Amino acid sequence: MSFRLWFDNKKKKEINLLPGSEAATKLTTSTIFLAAVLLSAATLACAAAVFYKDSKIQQQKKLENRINQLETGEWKKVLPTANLFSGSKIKVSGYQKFVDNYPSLDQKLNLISQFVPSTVKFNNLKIDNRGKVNIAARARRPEDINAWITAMKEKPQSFTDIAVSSTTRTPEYYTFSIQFQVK
Amino acid sequence: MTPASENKSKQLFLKNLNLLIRALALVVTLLVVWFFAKNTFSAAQEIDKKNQQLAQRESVIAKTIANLKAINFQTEKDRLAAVDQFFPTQKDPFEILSLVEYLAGQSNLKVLSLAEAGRSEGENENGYTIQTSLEGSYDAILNFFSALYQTKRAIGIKSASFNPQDAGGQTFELGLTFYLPLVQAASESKIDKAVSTFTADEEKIIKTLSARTISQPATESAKFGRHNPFSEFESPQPIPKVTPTP
Repeated sequence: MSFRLWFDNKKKKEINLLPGSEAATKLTTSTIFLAAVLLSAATLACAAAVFYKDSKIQQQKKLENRINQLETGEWKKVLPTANLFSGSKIKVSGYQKFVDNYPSLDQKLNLISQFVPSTVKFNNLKIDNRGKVNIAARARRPEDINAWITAMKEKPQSFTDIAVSSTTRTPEYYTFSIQFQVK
Repeated sequence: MTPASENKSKQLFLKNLNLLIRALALVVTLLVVWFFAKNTFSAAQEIDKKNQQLAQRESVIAKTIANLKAINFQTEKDRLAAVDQFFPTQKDPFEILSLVEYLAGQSNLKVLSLAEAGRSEGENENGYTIQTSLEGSYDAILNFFSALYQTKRAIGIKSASFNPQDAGGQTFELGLTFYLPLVQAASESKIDKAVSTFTADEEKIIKTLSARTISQPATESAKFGRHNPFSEFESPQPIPKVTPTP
């Protein structure tokens, strides 16, 4: 297609045979129609959003009322039982801690006795709830004291932190103090 | 350009301007409406999220209440009485003094002194202490210790000191410091933290505590009313000794 022919065709397309006022009326009508459609759709969308939000607000109010009813009415009825449970839970959880912190001393004393050589005699004994033991004792020979310490050291799961202090030789026997931790 | 064509061109410009303004007004209106609808919808979605949380909470609360309702308060209170007795909330020195005297008597120990020593508070402690001095044999002391771990009331030994009273080590003076734990009264339960069951471990502890048998003995209550409260008091009846069954 030559340029001339293309130009003529283009020119032909641009020819408007309608009078100016009629063309303007057609344009205005279609614009108004389009605007009306768009505005209607927008209004509908707005109305839907408002309706949706309103329904959610109503639902929220209902839920809040129901929770309020439960908290103020029904809950008060079962509160003594709830308090009984929560109080007992605290006490039950404290039991294990108490038993761990204040174990039975007779068992610890029996354990200590099992390892004491027959040639060692206690003068006095102090023991606390953490298993810290302080014993003043006497023995005829230092080997007996050593044998006791060795026996306890061989049981690290039962005895730890073994220390001997203030060993004194008297004419008849050795006196000494021993400290350790019994588990 | 002729005046006629100039006038026509002016009219055309005005018409186009008019159209442009209308189009702009429409676009602006649509944008405003769009933002309004979008914000409203977003707000509704936020409320919906909150509603889901509220619905979940309502369901949990309703379930908790239903569970608690299904429990017979008195039956459960009776079942948990041992737990309450083990950890009282209030100081109970006279019950303890009575219990220690009773246990010492049952174990053939002589009570030399017994005194409340004060509060004991620390990392793992909330209670008070009692100091006592007892006299008896080593076996009697071990029996006494063993019995202490069967009492319905929690009694811990904080420290023990053995001092032989004779050369043969047959009789001892035993110095003891007892720790008597107290548990603070629980504050009012919160609905969100309420529980209606115990775990298997907790049930085991409840069972252990319920199995404890020793408590202070029931004694004949004193007669009330004295003409002269300064006159010599009557001696109470001694508590009969219970012989342990083998």
